[in-house]
Amino acid sequence: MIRRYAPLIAALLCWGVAAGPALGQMVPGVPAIPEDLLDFELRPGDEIHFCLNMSSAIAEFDRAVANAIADSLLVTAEIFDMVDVHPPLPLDYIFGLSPPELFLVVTNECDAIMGWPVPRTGTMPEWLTITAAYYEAPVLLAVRGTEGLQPGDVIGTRLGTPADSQWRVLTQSTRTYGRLLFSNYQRMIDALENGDVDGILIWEPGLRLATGGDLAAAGMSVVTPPVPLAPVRFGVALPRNETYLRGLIDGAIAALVADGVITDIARQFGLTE
Amino acid sequence: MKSLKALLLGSASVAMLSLPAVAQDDPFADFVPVTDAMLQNPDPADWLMWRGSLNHWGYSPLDQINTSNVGQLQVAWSRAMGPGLQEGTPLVHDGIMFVPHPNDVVQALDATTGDLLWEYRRALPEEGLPSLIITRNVAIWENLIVFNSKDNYLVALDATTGQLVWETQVRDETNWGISTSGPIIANGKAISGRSCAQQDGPGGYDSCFLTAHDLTTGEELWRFYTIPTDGAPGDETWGDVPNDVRHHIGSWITPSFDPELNLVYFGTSVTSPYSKFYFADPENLDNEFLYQTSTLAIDADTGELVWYQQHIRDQWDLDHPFERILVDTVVAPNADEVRWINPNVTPGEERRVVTGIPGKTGLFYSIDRETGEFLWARETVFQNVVTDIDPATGRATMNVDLIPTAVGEQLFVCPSAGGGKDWPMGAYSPLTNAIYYPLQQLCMDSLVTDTDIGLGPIVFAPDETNVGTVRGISVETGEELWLFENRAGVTSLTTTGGGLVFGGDLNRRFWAFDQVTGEILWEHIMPAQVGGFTASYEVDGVQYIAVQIGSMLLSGAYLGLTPELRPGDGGNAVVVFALPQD
Repeated sequence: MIRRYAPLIAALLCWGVAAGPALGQMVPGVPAIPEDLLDFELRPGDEIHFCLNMSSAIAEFDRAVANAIADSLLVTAEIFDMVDVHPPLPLDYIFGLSPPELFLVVTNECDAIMGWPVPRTGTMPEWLTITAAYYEAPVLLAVRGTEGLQPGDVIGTRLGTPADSQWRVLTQSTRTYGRLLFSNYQRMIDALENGDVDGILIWEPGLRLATGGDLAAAGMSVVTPPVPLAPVRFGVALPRNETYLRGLIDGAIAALVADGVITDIARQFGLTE
Repeated sequence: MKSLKALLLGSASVAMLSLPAVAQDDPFADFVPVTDAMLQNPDPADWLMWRGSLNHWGYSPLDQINTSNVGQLQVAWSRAMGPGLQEGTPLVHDGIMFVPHPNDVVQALDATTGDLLWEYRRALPEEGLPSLIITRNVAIWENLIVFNSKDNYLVALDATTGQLVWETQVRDETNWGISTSGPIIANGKAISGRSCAQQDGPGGYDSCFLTAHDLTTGEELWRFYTIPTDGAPGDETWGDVPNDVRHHIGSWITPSFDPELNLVYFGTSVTSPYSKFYFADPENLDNEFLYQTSTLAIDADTGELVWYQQHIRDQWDLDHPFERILVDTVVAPNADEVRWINPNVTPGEERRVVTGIPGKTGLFYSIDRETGEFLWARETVFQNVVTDIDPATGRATMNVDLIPTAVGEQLFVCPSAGGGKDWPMGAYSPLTNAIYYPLQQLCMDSLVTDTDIGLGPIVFAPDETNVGTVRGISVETGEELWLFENRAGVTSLTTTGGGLVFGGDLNRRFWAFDQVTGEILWEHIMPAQVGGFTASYEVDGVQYIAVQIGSMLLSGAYLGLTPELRPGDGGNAVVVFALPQD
């Protein structure tokens, strides 16, 4: 089922403690939504209702994984497409909806949210729990041509990502390389092509989608970074009290990863070799 | 499964409606268009703008209701409102009340009965508007009701019919942003600010701006960008930070206006991410990053910046957009209570000041509003982000121990991102030359993550067990006149010529304080949280006190610390009080 979400929300007063998108007028806290608007119960029947982040570049991959999880549990996946009025950030996996909007969606429209980045330094909104990662996307150092990095090279990074965090620490401690910040992966790709930067840090699906999977044709190559870069890991987020369903999904993910099913799906969508 | 439609605010997908008045004597027959002269010298019987006057006093000169008879106050009428976050303010002119609801609904009511005269419901897009569906205020000029809509238009309605007169798109969907406050009216211009794109949102620095529009045509007259770039003054304060990651310094509260100086006073918010170590070199962490957390004095005709005063250099989402109160006063700060005093201040001299608490820190400032010269500042609630202020310049020294330097740090920051001070507004009284403020005693335990500094959990400030306080502070001396502490968070205040301060809390209490002593002279228990603003007006010789009630944005954050208080959610309404008339 594909539906569109109109996030005009009646009673969102505030949300959990995660360091999420900045909104000057927002403050954190326990979401305080009138109880009569909430439905924390699992939906009846042999379905799992998944919400899909349609602003993500891997939304269709997530859809296939949701179906695979449901299949492995012998239930049906009902999928709710979360669409934001704003154009999505290209090649990105950021949620277009804000945390309170996500809260209302997960409460009222679905049992679980696909495509939730597992935080490296442990904060999640108080109202969510997250499964084990079903997909790890490597973060790559892509350069123009085939030359490796040279001292003094400037690397483009996406602000607010773990890879940028790691690169910041590296550059500030060694001063060997430079760091140029971007808020948008497409602009990073453009800057690499234009010669404004010498390399970029980008998650593998973003790079493959930008280049059609043919790095050489795009005039790029991947080189070994001077520090191991933490991958972007995606899990399934659920309301905190859904421990039973989380257990089921964790089990399904473990089986799908072990059997290579998720790797096959990633390959099918051109996200990996 | 419950339909999401049931959660919408009732107006998300309905057609634009403007219901005419029921056939009866035309209540608008004697409607007098509101001129600039009327706005600059309001009739005490009216409440013509957000804080009652252009100087943001939040003061009504009416005195029929006063300290001697306020105990007799009773409900005159009340009326339910649409759902959503309640932070609204009613306007009143010639016996007509104009009520902003959440979701861009405006109603005109008979101010003596609450009977509906007309209603406007804006047809908002079905998909993807920001969830901050707050409308704090509309404005009135000539025969127009003007407001900033959630789909980023400036909208003008006919005040006598509710029909759309004109609308001007201010920003399109490629630039994220929301307008929760309406404009100030400055000589035929609607002047306003707004929130703007955060680090992961669509749009960038060019979504952050102040505007003036011609009220006759809706044409945009000027635009001032609150994030300088490309060699503009202040660009250098960002160091090497690329334009692409300069985000989010908006201005989300209605500015004040001094017609004599022709200056509009805005306050600004913070960068995204809040903490600068994500995008600045270590040696630049304490840069100004203009124009964050500043007071901006803007020429109303040209949009040019005349002066600015930056209050803090933020790392923690401590916005400074709040009401800029304009007072002409003797300046004689008492050094026993006022920690920072400019040595150039001559005690007893007259100054035209912009004063009060502009930001979440709770620091109270007095600044010469013609020149921007810092005069004095003092603390109110507990804060630990500012360690000192240069008394000659007003430049703050920030607490270096609270500036994030590494992912994984845990920082105890006071106040919290919900204040101290937040959007609940203070009010000035010329009777006492004091401002009364609703302030909260809160801090936050913040974890520094890969993305930004966390803004919680919110906890009590050290040694405190009450969330809310109301404080009266002298504009002349800076002395604290009285302090009221309250278990629940407290909300916006309004003063009157009857020597009263009206205000309420999130536990449904609505009070009248004595301006001089702080004594509660009257209390009414409401059916809902007192989330909105109070106004006072007069019709046919009767003074009324009107307040919009219901849950507001900060309710969850504040009530989370007082679990024994369960006031319920929602319940939006306008409630009006008067003295017995028999």
